[in-house]
Amino acid sequence: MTNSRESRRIRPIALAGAWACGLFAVALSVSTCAYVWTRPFPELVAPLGFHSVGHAGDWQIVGVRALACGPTLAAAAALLAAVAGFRAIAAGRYFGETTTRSLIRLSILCAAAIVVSVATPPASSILMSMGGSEGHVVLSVGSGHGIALVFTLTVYLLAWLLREAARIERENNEIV
Amino acid sequence: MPIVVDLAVIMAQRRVRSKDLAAFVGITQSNLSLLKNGRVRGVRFETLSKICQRLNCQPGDILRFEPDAEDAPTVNDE
Repeated sequence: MTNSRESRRIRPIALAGAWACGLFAVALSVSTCAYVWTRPFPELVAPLGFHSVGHAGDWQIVGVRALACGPTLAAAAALLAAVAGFRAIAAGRYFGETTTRSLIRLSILCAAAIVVSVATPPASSILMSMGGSEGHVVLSVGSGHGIALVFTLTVYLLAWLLREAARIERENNEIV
Repeated sequence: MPIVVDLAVIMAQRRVRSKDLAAFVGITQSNLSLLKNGRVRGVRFETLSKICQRLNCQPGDILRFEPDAEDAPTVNDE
């Protein structure tokens, strides 16, 4: 743990980051789930091409609503993973195991959120089709997904570099 | 580790306290204690030279090589 000018400067920023990520994760999860579960079901499946939902069973309705929450919950989990990292940085443990583990979890969960957001519409369509009604499978992959995946990969590489730095620091601490 | 640290012996001979030596060298007392007990991975030349300067000795007085039983040669070269 250091007490340099830079570390004193980064501490409030890291603490603010931790609070922002935590609050945003909770707000995002609650608001999205509330929206998805209170929205009329026909509106939820209309973009998938299902205009008549009278045949849909309860298990399909619950399944589609649960799937719709998936991407947001994955993103919220990524934000919660970042909280631990921000708190470790605020405590001055820059090269600690907590920081690297947090970054690795953040990158993996971000990647999961992207994949889930791409996979949710077709999965919902398939689920709805099981009742015999016709709709269409929507698979939408845009440049935004690609950029987000590159960003995620970059975070993962940074986490790996941080882990190497932590190992070197541990070795350095054993040299007097 | 076949490197044995005799720092405690030299310090006792010179009547130098750990606190004074640590302050002179510029390391913590806990690190000096680890060094005295040989529980470190390495010693910086800078640290070694300061220790030698304060204790008025040579690096060889502090460190010596003592092979383990399994490392000792089993066949004599003629």
